[in-house]
Amino acid sequence: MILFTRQQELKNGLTMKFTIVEEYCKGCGYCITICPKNVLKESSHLNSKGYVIPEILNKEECINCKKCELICPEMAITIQKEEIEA
Amino acid sequence: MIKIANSTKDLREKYLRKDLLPTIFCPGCGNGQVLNYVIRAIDALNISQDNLVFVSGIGCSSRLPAYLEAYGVHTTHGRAIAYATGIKLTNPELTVIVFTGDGDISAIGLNHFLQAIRRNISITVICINNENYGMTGGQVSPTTPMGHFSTTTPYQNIEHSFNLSFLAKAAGASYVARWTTAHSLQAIKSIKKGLQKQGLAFIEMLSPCPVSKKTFKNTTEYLQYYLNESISYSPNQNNNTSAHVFKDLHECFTAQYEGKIIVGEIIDKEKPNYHQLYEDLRVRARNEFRKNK
Ligand SMILES: Cc1ncc(C[n+]2csc(CCOP(=O)(O)OP(=O)(O)O)c2C)c(N)n1
Ligand code: SF4
Ligand code: SF4
Ligand code: SF4
Ligand SMILES: [Mg+2]
Repeated sequence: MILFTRQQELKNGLTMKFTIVEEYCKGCGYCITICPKNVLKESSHLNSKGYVIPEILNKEECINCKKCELICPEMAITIQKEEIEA
Repeated sequence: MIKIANSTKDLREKYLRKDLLPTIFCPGCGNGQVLNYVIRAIDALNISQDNLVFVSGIGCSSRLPAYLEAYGVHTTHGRAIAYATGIKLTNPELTVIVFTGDGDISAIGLNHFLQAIRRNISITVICINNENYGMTGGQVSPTTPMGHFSTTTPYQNIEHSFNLSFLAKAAGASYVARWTTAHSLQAIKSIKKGLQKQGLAFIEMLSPCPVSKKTFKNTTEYLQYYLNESISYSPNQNNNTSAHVFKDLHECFTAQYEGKIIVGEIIDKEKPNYHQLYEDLRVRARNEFRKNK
């Protein structure tokens, strides 16, 4: 098994793919507070129910620790590695 | 072999009833977080949904079985464990998980809880402890800490509170763990252990109720409190390297009165469960009956 560091991964064209199901999010902000790398922040965007949903500030910083995915009460966040398209 | 966990999207597809999403819970409610952890534990253990029964009483926390693609029984207030006992005795092949609230289990349903522990019925009881009656508008519960405000204690609660995990330990439970909803990985690990336990496993999840129990101004403060004020109780740990480890019960309770949260794996022991003993009895009784005929 080969383990890459974050920098190597970026060089190799791997990045994180974030999916947040807007309609499930209730704007609790747990994902923003728990992230050790400050990847997420509150957006100025409301979903159809009027909740302030998070947005991705700098996805290159993400270390794929999945803390945000685990803490979300709505299971709204999915993070997967994806290849950067050249 | 390394097992690659399913992505959150796959888990949602597999285990949640999409027609009911998003859940009915308030923003920042811990019930959804516990649901998230339970799903991950079940998935990691590969438990078949056809063999899975969720049983609950009454309360916000007791709405959880409705969201799961598995068998579910939403019963009467405080009686979830009694129903679960019946289900498990009728068909011991089933994995039976009880979702209950602090009011459900420690006020109206306390006796069922203690008797099931005494009998050592093989069920996993997951208590979402938000230290109040969330559903009915934030009344005091037996787990509301002394000094806290609630709709029925407007001049602060003057009663001592129960620590349900230590209560379960004292009653003789085989497995007891206590975490807050901020302890995702620890909670998933404990739920997994609880599900594998041949005996009663009790998992207490301290959980935010930002709408009915306004101890904190917002959800972020709740999360920060859980992260900063939790202290682990590990009677068996020998290295005293961490400043945040308690071994002594007395110390624990003093800290609890000062607002600290005691977390950790409280007990993990082997003891004969009701189903084994019942099976032995059945075989023994039949043999004796045949002999005497
Ligand atoms: C026999 C009976 N008594 C009282 C009630 C009213 N009641 C509904 S929910 C509840 C308390 C729920 O508290 P808890 O178990 O902590 O659940 P939470 O809503 O906090 O998750 C009560 C007293 C009831 N439904 N049935
Ligand atoms: S996976 Fe970790 S680093 Fe990446 S956004 Fe989530 S919490 Fe932050
Ligand atoms: S934790 Fe989930 S529900 Fe809460 S703000 Fe983040 S995405 Fe939304
Ligand atoms: S009242 Fe409390 S326990 Fe009930 S859904 Fe709202 S936050 Fe959750
Ligand atoms: Mg409650």
